[in-house]
Amino acid sequence: MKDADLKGRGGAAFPAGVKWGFVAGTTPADGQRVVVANGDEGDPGSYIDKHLMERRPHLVLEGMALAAFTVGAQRGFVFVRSEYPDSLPALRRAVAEARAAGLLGANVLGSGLSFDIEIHEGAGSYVVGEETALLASLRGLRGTVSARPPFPAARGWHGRPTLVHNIETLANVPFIAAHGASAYRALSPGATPGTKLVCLNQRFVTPGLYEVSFGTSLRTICDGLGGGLKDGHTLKALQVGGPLGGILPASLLDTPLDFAPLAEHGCMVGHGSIVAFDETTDMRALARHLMKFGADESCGKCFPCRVGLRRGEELLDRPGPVDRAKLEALLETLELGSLCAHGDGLPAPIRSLVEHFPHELELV
Amino acid sequence: MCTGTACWAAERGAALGTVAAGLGVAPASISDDGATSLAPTVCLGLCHVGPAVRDGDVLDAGPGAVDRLLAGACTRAPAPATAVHGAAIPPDGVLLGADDPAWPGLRHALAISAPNGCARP
Repeated sequence: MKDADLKGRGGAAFPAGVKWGFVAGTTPADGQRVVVANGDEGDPGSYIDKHLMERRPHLVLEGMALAAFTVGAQRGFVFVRSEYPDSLPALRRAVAEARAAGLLGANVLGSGLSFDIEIHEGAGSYVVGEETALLASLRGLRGTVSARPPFPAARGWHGRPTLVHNIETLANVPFIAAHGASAYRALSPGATPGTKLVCLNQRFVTPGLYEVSFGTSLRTICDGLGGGLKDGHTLKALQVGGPLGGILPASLLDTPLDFAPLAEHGCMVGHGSIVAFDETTDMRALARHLMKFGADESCGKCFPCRVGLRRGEELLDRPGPVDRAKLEALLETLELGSLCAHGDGLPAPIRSLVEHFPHELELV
Repeated sequence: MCTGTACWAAERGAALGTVAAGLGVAPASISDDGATSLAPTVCLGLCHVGPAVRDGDVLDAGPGAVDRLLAGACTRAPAPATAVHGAAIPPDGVLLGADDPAWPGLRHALAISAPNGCARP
């Protein structure tokens, strides 16, 4: 796993093999470790994990089992958001099939190893996609964030070392197990190893879910695979990687889809969603929409996020010019003071809009 | 009603107002008789067709979805198109393609690995 250099697909891009090493290296008092698949894909614009849970549930569960046997876990959970009513039955059916085939349960395939998986339905919170909030919700507590450390790898579900991975990350593991690290790295020559699923929104001529090599240019994805925008519209900007991802103006469409090149423009691969905005989009209204989303979905645990995002929405909602210094001070407070990626990530798209569309934001 | 960014990009939030007027129920509230509730939600994962709506456990989206919702006749939204792009990727893809209930990666790993993987006993 370390040779394959699989980077987490949930947004943080943390090397999965390193995380597995953390969990495997723990010495839990009762010997119990846990694997959790994060299927709380709430990022607006993303339907990648939904597709995997509904169309490739065995791939996800197989990835969990491989992780479990490597790190020494006996118990697994898939946390599925309640907004995906078709994902739950698909996963439950696959778990039943795997148990019947001897792939889950006691003494898997006669190996002496035991591992089983429960499918857990979420309760409609966006922030529960953050791993500490997810683990709280999984234990029946309110879905609010906790400070890290301790990281879940050390103290997670009921205090046990817990490996938490995004669904797409786990879906990459069976290929690595079957074909090896070299074959996996060869899927994206000269770029981040493996493949990436990207999903395009309704504004494209052929919106859909595409599996591409890292390093593929956004122009190839948007104009080639997506066919450009429908009804003669032209592209104004893209938001890549979810609501915490930066916004890329159409002039930067030749940027490759990979971590470093996107970071140069204040953007991220994130979850792999690509949301196009056409030439009719009011960027002030977009900024307001994003801030309102952030404020509505804040878990409320830390005040920079709870209060700051609402103040940000109000700043943009009030008619007339926006005080640039005040807005930037607020964004900095969110970035420095928030407990998790929700509050410290939402400034990224707003900063993109400040940089690329200052007149539309009416900054003074 | 989905109010996520992809649906916003599709119709700027207009559908929520149409549905609220059609049902006579304000967003985030319940009708007087308790029979109908209208909840805005972050994303329903139907960003390829938006605007997306959910009635019970049926997810509908795209042209006509709002009318079908108001008529109580939602139909399941179409699945997104899928394709693999890149000379270095197998034609069926690594993550797309058919699901394999035999778990060949796990079988291979168990055949070549020591018991308990990397974990300390």
